[in-house]
Order: sequence, then structure tokens, then C-alpha cells
Amino acid sequence: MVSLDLLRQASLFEGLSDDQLAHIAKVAREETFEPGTFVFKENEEAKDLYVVLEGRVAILIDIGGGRQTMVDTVARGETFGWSAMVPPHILTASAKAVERTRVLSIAGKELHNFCLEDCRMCYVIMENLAKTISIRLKDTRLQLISLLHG
Amino acid sequence: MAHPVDEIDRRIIALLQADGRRPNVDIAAALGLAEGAVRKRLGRLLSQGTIRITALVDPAQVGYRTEAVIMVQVDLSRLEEVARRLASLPEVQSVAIATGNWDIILNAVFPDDHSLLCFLQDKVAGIPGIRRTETSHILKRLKHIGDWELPLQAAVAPTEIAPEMLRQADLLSGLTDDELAYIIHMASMRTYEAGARIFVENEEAREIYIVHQGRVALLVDIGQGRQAVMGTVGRHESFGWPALVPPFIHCETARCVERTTVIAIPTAGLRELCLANCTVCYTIMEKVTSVISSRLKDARFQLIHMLTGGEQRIPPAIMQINPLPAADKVTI
Repeated sequence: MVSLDLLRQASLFEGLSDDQLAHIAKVAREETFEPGTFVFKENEEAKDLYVVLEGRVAILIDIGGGRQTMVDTVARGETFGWSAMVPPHILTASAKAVERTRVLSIAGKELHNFCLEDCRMCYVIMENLAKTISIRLKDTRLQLISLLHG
Repeated sequence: MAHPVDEIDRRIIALLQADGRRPNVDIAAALGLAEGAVRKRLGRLLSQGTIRITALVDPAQVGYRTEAVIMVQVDLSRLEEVARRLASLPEVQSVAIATGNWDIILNAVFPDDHSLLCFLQDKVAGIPGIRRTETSHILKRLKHIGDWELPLQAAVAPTEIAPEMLRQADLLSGLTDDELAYIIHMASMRTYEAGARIFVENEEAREIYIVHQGRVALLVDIGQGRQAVMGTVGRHESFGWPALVPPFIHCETARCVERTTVIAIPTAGLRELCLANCTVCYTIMEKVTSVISSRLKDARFQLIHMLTGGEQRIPPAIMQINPLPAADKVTI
């Protein structure tokens, strides 16, 4: 159980009522990761969705030969680990704490169940999630375009 | 406004051209359809004015054996007035205003040549504004207006959305028949030629699309008049997801690689359905999220590929660039 104030920091839950947040608060928990530790690793089963409360997380992709490349960083209020809400529920990247990082973790399965009971909550969460991923997509494409102009 | 007809419409029209009084039951039996389906299609064709069912008189059968095409030159300031006066004459079957040497072309029928002569001398010559005429006597008519068959190429685009078209769509798989029927009610089907743009990057996004036939390339402007292919979508795949995601602005241009038929679903209606039905909401939004996530994954691989100088293996989906019409300058 976490406080509603913590949930209000998450862009993922923007637009939800206090009642709806209270449901999520019951299944959310706080976790802390020391710098250099992994929150999760690529290709693992995606069970939880995360929101950064404090600190910063690097998103890394394996490029073969045991090496990884950073493709993104996630800061306060932002969501990561969305594979927990997206089939086939396999993590497409690794997440590593850059500094001491406090996160909220919410079981994707619980969130899914809430979504099937409350259509408005479902719509708000999924729309926010889609918006988050689409912003990352736009940023990545902008980087690609700037490289093409190299 | 053009109303496209499909192959079944075309066959119904052909049967009615042969016999305008043919009962719906007969048409249904000839085409292997239900009577209700024929009635519904005929109702649509008649109400939108695609066809009219009327009686055609055979002039020869009622004693009008002489047929002529008369071409008329007029003072252009009196063109409409002359055309209307000619059209009001009982011998005249049709009047058309035309370009070229002759301003008006008309068809007329007469009992005999003497009646044709009287028509020209007594009626046509007396109309103010006519400068000159030329008359051609029709000797034999091989094809009548009523014999015109709708060309096949005008009939290939389907116009009705069947539930199975949506059931197989990635975006809507798993929805019930009732849910699909609701979506069909608000959706429309459109056909675009190769090279046509369905939407353009930075435009407001109001519809999400499912490819029924054909293939669509998704392009992003990379400056200096160039575009990069971000992916292509084919049969049963969806595109145009920004219509469901704030700020509702297209982040790609959708251009048809070949002749393409799409099912367009207005997202305002889809949002209402989502807010009333949690299963539909989750199914659709999960799919939308999955599509964006997959595009992000592709873009990240591509970025890594460029940053590492091609060291990283690129997924085949990104490498495959379908040929676009020459009008497009495409780079990747």
C-alpha cells in the first residue's frame, strides 16, 4: 500500500479520480535500487510496471557479444517496463539504476484486472501509456533523422 | 459525388438492364444471394441515384422509323436558351451542349423523311440564335444507351464491410459479433490508387485504419524533401494509431504502395465504445500500445545500427522497403 500522493506523481495515472487511485495504491509497492543494479533484464517475463519516484534509470538494449547500448533514460514521474501491459509480456530492454533510485512497482496483472472492471480507468491508463511510448518513439525517430543528416 | 459499386452491384444492374421488371427473388436466385440482400442493395442503388428503372420506348414500334443526329452552331450568348427550346420539341430524344465545331448535338425521331424536313424548316430554322446546322441520317443503330454495361474496373472496390473483414483485423481480433456490428455501423470503406496519400504527417488524426486489400507505406519526413520508410502495413493490419493517442496528430504519412482498400473507423465513436465496454477498451488500447511499442523497438534497433556503423543486426521488418511509385523519393 502506497500513498495517493506518490501515485499522483506518475504521468501514467494522470486523469484518474482519488477512488481509482486508491484501488491502485493497494497493489502498488515501493522499491529502491542502488546505482548500477538492474531493475529488470531484457527477455525476462514482464510482470511489473514501474514509475520513477526519485533518481534515474537507464534503458539498455543488448547488441550482442555481451554488450549493451543505452537507448533512453527515465526520470521522476515517468513510466518504464510497459511490456507488463503489452503482449507478449516479454521485456524488450533492460533497466538499470543510474543513481540511487526509488520506484513504484505495480503488478501488470492487477492493473489489467482493474481495467476490465472500470472502463474509464482502462481508457485513461492505456491512453497515458500509449502517449508515453509514442513520445519515446518520436524522440528516437528525431535522433535517427539527425543522424541521417549527420 | 461518386458512389462506388462492387461486383455484386454490377451483376444486379446487368440483370435489370436486360429486364427492369425482374423480381428480386429471381435476381437473388441467379446470383446465389438472399432476397433481402438484393432488396437492400437495390434500395441503396436507387436512393443514391446510381440507377433509375424506367420504360424505354422503341420508336420504330410506334411508327417513328427515321432517326437523325442534328448538330447545331449557335450564338454563344444564346446557347442555353437555344438548347432548352430544342429540348422542348416533341421529336427530340436528347440534347447535349458540346465542345468542338458544333455547340449543340441532338437526337430526334420522325415518322419519315418528310417529317424530318418539316422539322428542320418549320421548327429549327425559326429558333433565334441558330447559325448553322448539319443533319446526319442514322441508317442502323448497333448499341443503345440502355445496352451500356458498367465496366468491370468501376466495380472492383467493395463498398460494404462484412464482419469477417473486421474479425481478422489485428486491432479488433477477439471482439464479439455485436461489438463488431457497432464498429461496422460507424466505419466506412475507401479505395485509394497506388501513390495516393491516406493522411499526411502533422495532420490532425481522427480515424484509425485497417488494410482490407493492398499495402500502405508509413513515411516520415527527414528534411530536404526526403522521406524515410518506417514500415509497411498489409492486409488485416492497422495504422493511424495517433487518432487514439494525445495529441491526436499523425506522426507519419500513409501512402499506398499499390491500389489499396481500407476500412476507416472514426476514433470519436471508438472512444465512446471503449468507455462503455471494458473488454473492447482493453483489446483495442492494448493493441494500439503494442503497435507503438513495436515501432519504438524497430526505431531503437535502427538507431543502434547507425550508431554502431552497421554492427548490430537489423530486424528484417526494417530492412524490407517495398517499391513506391517513382513520384516518391524514398531514403532510409
